[in-house]
Amino acid sequence: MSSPFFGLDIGASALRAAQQLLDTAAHNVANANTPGYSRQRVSLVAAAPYTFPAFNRSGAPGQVGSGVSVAAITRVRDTFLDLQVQSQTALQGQWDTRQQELAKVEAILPEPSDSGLGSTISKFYNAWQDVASDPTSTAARSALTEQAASLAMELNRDSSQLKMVASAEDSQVTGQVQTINDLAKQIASLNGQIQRVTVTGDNANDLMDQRNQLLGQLSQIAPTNVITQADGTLSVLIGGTDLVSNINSRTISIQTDVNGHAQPVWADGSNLSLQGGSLKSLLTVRDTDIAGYQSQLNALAKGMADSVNAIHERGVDAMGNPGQAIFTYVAGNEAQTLGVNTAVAADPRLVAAAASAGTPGDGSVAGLIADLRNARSYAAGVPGTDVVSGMDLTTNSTARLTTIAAGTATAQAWTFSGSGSSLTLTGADGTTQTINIADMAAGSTATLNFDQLGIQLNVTAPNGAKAGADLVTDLTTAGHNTMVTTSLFTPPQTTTDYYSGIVGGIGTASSQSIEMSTNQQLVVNQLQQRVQETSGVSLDEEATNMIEFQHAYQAAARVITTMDEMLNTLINSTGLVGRG
Amino acid sequence: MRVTEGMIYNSTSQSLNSTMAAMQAATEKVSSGKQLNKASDNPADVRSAIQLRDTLSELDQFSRNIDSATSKTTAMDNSLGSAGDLLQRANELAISGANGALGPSDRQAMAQEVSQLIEATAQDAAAKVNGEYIFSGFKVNQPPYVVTAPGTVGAYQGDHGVTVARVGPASTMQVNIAGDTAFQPALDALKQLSADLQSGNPVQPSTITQIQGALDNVLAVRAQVGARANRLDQAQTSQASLITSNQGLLSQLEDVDMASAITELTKRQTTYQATLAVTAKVIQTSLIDYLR
Repeated sequence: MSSPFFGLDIGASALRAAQQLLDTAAHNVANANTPGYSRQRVSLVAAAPYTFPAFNRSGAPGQVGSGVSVAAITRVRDTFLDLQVQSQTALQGQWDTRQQELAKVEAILPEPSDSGLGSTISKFYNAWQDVASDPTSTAARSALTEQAASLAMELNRDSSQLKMVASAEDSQVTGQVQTINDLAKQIASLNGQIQRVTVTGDNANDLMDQRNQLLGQLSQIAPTNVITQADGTLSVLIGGTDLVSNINSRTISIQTDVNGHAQPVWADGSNLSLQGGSLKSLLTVRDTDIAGYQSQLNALAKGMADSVNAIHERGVDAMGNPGQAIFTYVAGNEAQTLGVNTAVAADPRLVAAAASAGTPGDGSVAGLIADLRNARSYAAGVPGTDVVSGMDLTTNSTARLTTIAAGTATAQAWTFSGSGSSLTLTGADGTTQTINIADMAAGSTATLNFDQLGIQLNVTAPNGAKAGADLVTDLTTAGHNTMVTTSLFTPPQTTTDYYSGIVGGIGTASSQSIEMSTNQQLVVNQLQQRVQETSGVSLDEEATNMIEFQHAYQAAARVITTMDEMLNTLINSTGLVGRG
Repeated sequence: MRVTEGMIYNSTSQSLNSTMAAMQAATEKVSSGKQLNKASDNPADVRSAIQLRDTLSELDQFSRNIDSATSKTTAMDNSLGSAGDLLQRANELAISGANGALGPSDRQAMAQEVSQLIEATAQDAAAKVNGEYIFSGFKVNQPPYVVTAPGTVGAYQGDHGVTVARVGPASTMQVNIAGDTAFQPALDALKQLSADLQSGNPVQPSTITQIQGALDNVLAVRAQVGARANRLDQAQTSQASLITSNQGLLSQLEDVDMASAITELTKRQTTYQATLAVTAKVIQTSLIDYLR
């Protein structure tokens, strides 16, 4: 038989439970806008019934309900969704960063435009045509050296700006590594707090929400593997190495690589392997994309400078001196160091427009340089010391092609062939020139003309017949007197093709990253909506619950009032029979 | 499915953002008139646009080259025309000089005039464009012929250098004509005529033939120059039509189709306004408002 006060205890437990329910609803409402917050629920269970089964229990019916008790306060969270959010956030961080960095690169070469490098290249070759049509005009020559300087400055500027983007990425890398280290410390510290709560049997709801939030920030920078331990702590791994384990965190530090760039490594010096995330993107854009564009710009500068210089050096300037190099550069850093030869820049008469001295009206060399605009390759010259003077066929078969009258140029490929005592030179256009050694007087000279620049091969006849085939051997032995045709770029293409290829490459990479980052944003939004769907606080729901809990509270209070009246009856109105 | 306030706020701000972004992109197209504003807008088209721009720039240059060549052809034509007139006059003098009725003093007077014709022809040969002697081959800094004494000119001082004009893609045209090709027969004939007249005897028939031969030569050279001028004209015309068609291609790549761009912009604006209106309705209501 239970005590008459038993009902009061039941009512009190109901009051406490309703109070807890209302408090939790209040907590949910208060945190409705807290990032990462998961709504919390109170788990209620019926309190242990009276009495315990035992042989010495009273004979009255047992298992009388004894009210309600609060079993636990839990958060509503889908941890599988959390893992998905983390992995997709890493991808989003990766594409967002790539898109932002490539947009900076794209802004360096603003095309199509009337003022970019593309139009500077066009104007440069146009200026050569003006010199070719009017080689005595000082204005045309000055305009040309100005255009050459503009071209060099434009390439210098573009190359320097690429370097600036790369070094800005260095400081971003350093900043992100700092963020990883800070986050790792905070996660490790939260692990400790959660561990202490968990061992007491409670749920560290709010602390776990905070930790989730930090993991989200971390995975944007670097993708992580997360393992939940029995004591409530999380182990966080980056590329298989634990960043956080229990209450300890590992540090990532910065090393400077051979190119002077910041590279993240584990504090013990071991390699940090990144599978994605924004940090990985920064490193890829800097070390692969920008480095690639930089070397393409270098190839552009080198191809143009070398071809223009090679032909210009075969020309003759207005004073009758051999042409000098127009462009100078430092090998390996061509785009940034490209400059116009100061002597030529100071005196436009040094522009070698003519093929020979004393012919001021000859602009043929300037014309050949102008033709480089649509050329894929150019005659780089005859290599080495084989070009000396006088081909002496009298000695032996090691005789070599020599005297080349004025410079060394031909746009077409020539081939030698020989039979009997005759030597034939065949041009790419099918024209042939033949000399027959047998017909030549000993010691006399025959001439083979290579091209319009007046380049000739003077062949001195031997003192006796020599087979044409031997001559061919002499002339065509590898490296002997063979005009070397060099491609401007690899693979062979015109300057504008090459340049538009660079811009197109940047554009393709950039547009892909825009698309990917937009898509990835949608995926992450979708997942975050699902997280909200599960864990978000609904104010309408909480308001409804509050009404429900308020009624429960009122009912529990009414129970106590009823019990009170019952006791009042028992205490004050019982045993008064006959009094009155 | 649960719908929470957070979801509504998130999705509202996302859709406001994306409709704003789309509207901004549409506005940029309309206001710039360009659909290629940066390489990532359409990398393949940007490549083609860069190449087309270079082609156009080169076509403009060809056009300038043709103008420069044309000014030289015009000057050459003038000189040759004038030299032809001089030879006509010489021809008249020769024919009247062949008349046996004339006395030696008449012939002396005619010889005086022929001397002037010789000097005038050398003057014609010394035509200049932009300070360059156009009949001196590559030696444009010296006149082809110099008057060494009254009525006498020295040997041809120029060379046979060929100047070319780049008039089209992989297409060049010779511009100049060596002075000795154009004027040497005329000068030789005039010299012979002068000698004939100074001798006091009637002018030899062979001299008259020589003068007429020289005249034919000048006319032939002038016809050649005229033919070149025609080719230059044609090249200029075809250049102009190439420029027009390439500009059309470039415009197709780079320029916005205004009608569709404005339609697009209007559509985006409508979407944006609808989003705003719906948002204003949805985010105002809450159960709290109805609980009293």
